[in-house]
Amino acid sequence: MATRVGANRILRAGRFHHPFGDPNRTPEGEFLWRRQVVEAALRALTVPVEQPTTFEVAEYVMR
Amino acid sequence: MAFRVVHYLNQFYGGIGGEAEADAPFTVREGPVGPGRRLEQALGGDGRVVATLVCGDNAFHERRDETLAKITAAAREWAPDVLVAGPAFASGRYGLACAAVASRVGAELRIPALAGMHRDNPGAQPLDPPIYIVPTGETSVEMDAALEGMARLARRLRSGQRLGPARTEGYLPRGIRRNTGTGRPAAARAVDLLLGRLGGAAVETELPIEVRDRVAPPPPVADLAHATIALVTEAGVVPKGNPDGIEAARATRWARYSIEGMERLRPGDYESIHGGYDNAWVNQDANRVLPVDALRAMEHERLIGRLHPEYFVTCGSIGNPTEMRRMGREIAREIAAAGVTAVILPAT
Repeated sequence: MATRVGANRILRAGRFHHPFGDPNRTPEGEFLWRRQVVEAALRALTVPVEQPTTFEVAEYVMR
Repeated sequence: MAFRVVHYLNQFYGGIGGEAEADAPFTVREGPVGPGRRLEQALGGDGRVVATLVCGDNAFHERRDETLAKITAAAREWAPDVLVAGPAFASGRYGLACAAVASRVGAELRIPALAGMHRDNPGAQPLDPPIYIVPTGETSVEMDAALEGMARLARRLRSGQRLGPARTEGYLPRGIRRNTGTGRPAAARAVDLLLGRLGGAAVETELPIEVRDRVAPPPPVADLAHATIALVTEAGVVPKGNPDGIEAARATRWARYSIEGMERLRPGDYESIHGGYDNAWVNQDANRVLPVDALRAMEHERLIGRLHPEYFVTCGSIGNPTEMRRMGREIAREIAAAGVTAVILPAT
């Protein structure tokens, strides 16, 4: 959906109804996972783009 | 002999359930289901709905290619003459699924395919291979009119006759232009158009220029460690009680709420009022939409300069693009004035 409406930086994260959540993990595990997704989002903000671009979490984890 | 229609529906119209059942896997039912029965009536004996393909909106999108292949194989078994999908009205995920199904099945089975949805539905954007989209109202209040329009177009497509312009045949323009003669020279038509406009009449242009709503991407963030990051969301997560009355659908209001000094969004203090997704997970823990806990931790570790002390929220369910653009601009003004460097926008 984000690609169709033309958002310029799109990060594929969790599911529709909890983009920064993963209820299948323990609370601690979910928080660590959420940090990775947020780090990927922040990294994506530092990448120049010319048009709507989709980013994947795995490529952009800081540590 | 009545022509054969295969009908695509999501989990809601297919009678499985609402948002909580959006994971429902693809299934096939013989004959018409739910609105398919009225579709069959609207076809008036000219067509029969021989099978209904039902798939949860989340299930479809999360395994798109695999699901499209299964749907196409299933449709082929029922030897349809026409594929009809929806109507999806303003539901974005459903509209996108309808359009994708119509396009794939139509192309692979080489049959006419149409979907019904509101003109602002993200699924109404032109596709390749192209399909016909019958414009509908925003909600299922207008189901009957939607099905009438879809049945009418299905009959026309089956007739084998060349279709007229989109406007007269009742589908959304596809950017296909055919020249016809009107018997009057262009100069005369142009003068009539001008006089009509000057006189206040609502005369339509022969040549609509498409306005593309593209936003040029800004330059990237140069220095995250000194950047102020703000959270803006359309997920409808608000303090319990929804103090500013943000609407659960077709929202016209947005609000800002302080997260100053918060290590995380406290469970129990927030709720989601967004009618378009299953709110259970977010109601348990709002950080699953607004990752305040993660961003605050990163602020402490100086990976970012600052988490902006407010978050901004509206509800994007069945959002009117004009209202959404206005709210986006208003929020952007506030954010720019506050010196925010970049925004993370959690979307549902």
